[in-house]
Amino acid sequence: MRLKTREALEGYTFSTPAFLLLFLVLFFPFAYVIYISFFSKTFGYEPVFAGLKNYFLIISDPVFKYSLYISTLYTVVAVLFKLLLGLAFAILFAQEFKGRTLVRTVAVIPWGIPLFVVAALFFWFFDYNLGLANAILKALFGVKIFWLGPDWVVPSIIYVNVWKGIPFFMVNFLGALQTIPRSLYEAAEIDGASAWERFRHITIPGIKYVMLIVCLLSTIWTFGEFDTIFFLTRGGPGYLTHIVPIYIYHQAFSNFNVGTAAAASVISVPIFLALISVILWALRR
Amino acid sequence: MSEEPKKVDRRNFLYVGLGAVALVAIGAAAYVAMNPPVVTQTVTTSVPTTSVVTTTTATTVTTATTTTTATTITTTTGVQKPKLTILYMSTYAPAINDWLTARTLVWASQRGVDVEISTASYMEIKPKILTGVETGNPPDLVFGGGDLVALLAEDPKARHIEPIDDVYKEIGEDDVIDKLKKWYTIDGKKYAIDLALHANQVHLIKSFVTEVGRKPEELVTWDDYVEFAREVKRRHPDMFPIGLTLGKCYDGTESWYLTWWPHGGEMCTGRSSTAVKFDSPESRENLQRIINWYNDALINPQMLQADEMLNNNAYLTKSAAFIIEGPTPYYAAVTRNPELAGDTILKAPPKGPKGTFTWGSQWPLYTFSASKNKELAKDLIIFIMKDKAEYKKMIQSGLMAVGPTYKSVTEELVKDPNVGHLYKVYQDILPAVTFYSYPLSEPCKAMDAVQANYLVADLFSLTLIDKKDVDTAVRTVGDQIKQIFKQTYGQ
Repeated sequence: MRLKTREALEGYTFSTPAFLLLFLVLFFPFAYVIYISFFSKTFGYEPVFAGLKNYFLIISDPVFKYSLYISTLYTVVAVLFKLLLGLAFAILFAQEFKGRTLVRTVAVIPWGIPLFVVAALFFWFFDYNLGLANAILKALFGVKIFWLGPDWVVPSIIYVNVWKGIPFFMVNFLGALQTIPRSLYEAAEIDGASAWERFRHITIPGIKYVMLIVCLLSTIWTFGEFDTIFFLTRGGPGYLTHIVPIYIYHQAFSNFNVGTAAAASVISVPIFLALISVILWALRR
Repeated sequence: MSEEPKKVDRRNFLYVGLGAVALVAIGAAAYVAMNPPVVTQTVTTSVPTTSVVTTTTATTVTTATTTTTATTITTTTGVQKPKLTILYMSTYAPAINDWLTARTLVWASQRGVDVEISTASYMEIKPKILTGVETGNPPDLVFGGGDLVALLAEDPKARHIEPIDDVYKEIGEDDVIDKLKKWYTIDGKKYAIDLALHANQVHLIKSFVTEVGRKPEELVTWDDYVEFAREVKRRHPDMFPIGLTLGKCYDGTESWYLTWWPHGGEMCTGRSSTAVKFDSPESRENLQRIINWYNDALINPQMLQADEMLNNNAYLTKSAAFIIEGPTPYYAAVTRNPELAGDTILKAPPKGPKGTFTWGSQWPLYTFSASKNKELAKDLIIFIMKDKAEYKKMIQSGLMAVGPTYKSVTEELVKDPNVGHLYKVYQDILPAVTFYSYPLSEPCKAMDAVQANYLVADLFSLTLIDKKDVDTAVRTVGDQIKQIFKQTYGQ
């Protein structure tokens, strides 16, 4: 009994610093955000209790509703494209061909480029007058597009996210593909399974768990993404790319309203969790 | 043959941990012993004229110069030098930033002060200042964040910015352009001083004017400029001649004010929601005017993006025939494309029925009440601003990007045989420089919020993207402005 108490004491002694760190780094800021969401608060001013006013303000704000919509659309479409293209590239690069190592290395480069560099790069790529995108379009079809204008801005930012995110999917899938025993494919081939059947019944189950983890992480990162879109469009034109993090930023630093920014953050958490659950559920199926 | 891994005894592990903690504690104690806490000493001087207060200790010499009759100078003694944390906005004219940094370092070396200079873009600086204020740890000195001054100084219960009337007295208050003093005067005290004035001017590309058979001096009113733009468009159907930004950003708001004020637009006459005059026929007419220009393809749809560089780039790539901007694009042309600079004429913004108005961006220097080094910060502001020969060098290095805060320096530059004609334009438009709370034209916390949110630029997205009618757009934005005034002033 005495020994058990001592062991427990030692256990608590060792784990307390970790718990304290977790409390300070994770729990305390989150609890503070929930707390401040019930106050009217401007930078440099004392908070004034506002009850649920901030929540009503946010819920009734059409821009917030649109932010949720565009964040969800952006996340779902971008993750879906990254999943499909990442898988396609992984299967392609898993094949034996000359220069495979070089191609694989080059394909990973977008993942390694810092976000603000990606934003600057695409800012000029999409420029109406000087951009490479329009130079190609003009040369091929004699037309130019306002890539970051109202009609094309959402596909454009999704494109940037997909371009940067594909290598992450590809590398993980490539690793997972290499764990599938070659003999399974050979046996299936002898049994007369088609390429599609081999893909469906061997490849997909073989990389299923990696796929789940990669999609989960990518959903979290894409939904919370701020840097690239803020650099590229600052949430515009108008509010067209006002994703949730940009909405929260504007509430805090343009409206100077820390309380509504906190309320928007709190409201977006369950919505974000629901989105992750739906994506995971869909993938499990 | 595998070897059994050696078991780590828990007790030994704990002892090692405790030993490490003890080591860290001993190290920290030794550090504190070698670096005694800074002793702050307050010296109050009562001197009617310029005096130099010098405090000498074994290792530090701190000097401060004052002229006021009762100024408190906080000097720091002890082993450690005082350290000033400084946040400077990076401007579009790097030479100005270089000058500012160099002067700061000269001051630091002369005063025996350590400085930590950070720079931030126009977009980054506001969150940095606000979070600093919120945590009670603002920078000691800030350059930039002009639209935060009223927010952080107007409310007597939350005055975070330190008044600097003593700085004004020291540098010669009468020489500072009156309008610039008014921008920062709240309840009779001045809270900031502009390093320089970034007053908007037309950047007109002469070759386009010549091409359509006109002369630059013929272009005076908005009607003249629009007619000119139409003529350019007829000759260059792919071009968008009017370089006005319409995005939800700083320049988007400038576009509104520069077209709205000359046509009778007014924001507020006082600090209450009933004093807001935004929802008016003038606002509707002005919005319709801009929509027409956009629909006639005189403005590039790309200008709906929220980006302050769009109009600058339109000018630098000659994809617009004219833009209206503080002359930083002209600075860029002089430094990177002299041919374009030679083909450019800087002019007063287009006139409307109510006269000529222009936008002046605020480039203020200020310090905070919570700063432990506010007196040193004020001393640095004096050092930056007082030596007018040095100050003139900064303005000149900016190659017209900004104009002087001082009347005397403006006069001197106007007389310069080489660039005098350019500064004459600046001098001439000074009376037209208008503050965003016009006609109140005073610092106004609610208007800081309206400006920081770029609310007036929503007019363009509401009509051109969301396809709302003009009446609805003006009413929506007008209601939001009134709401902000109501929240701020309670009426």
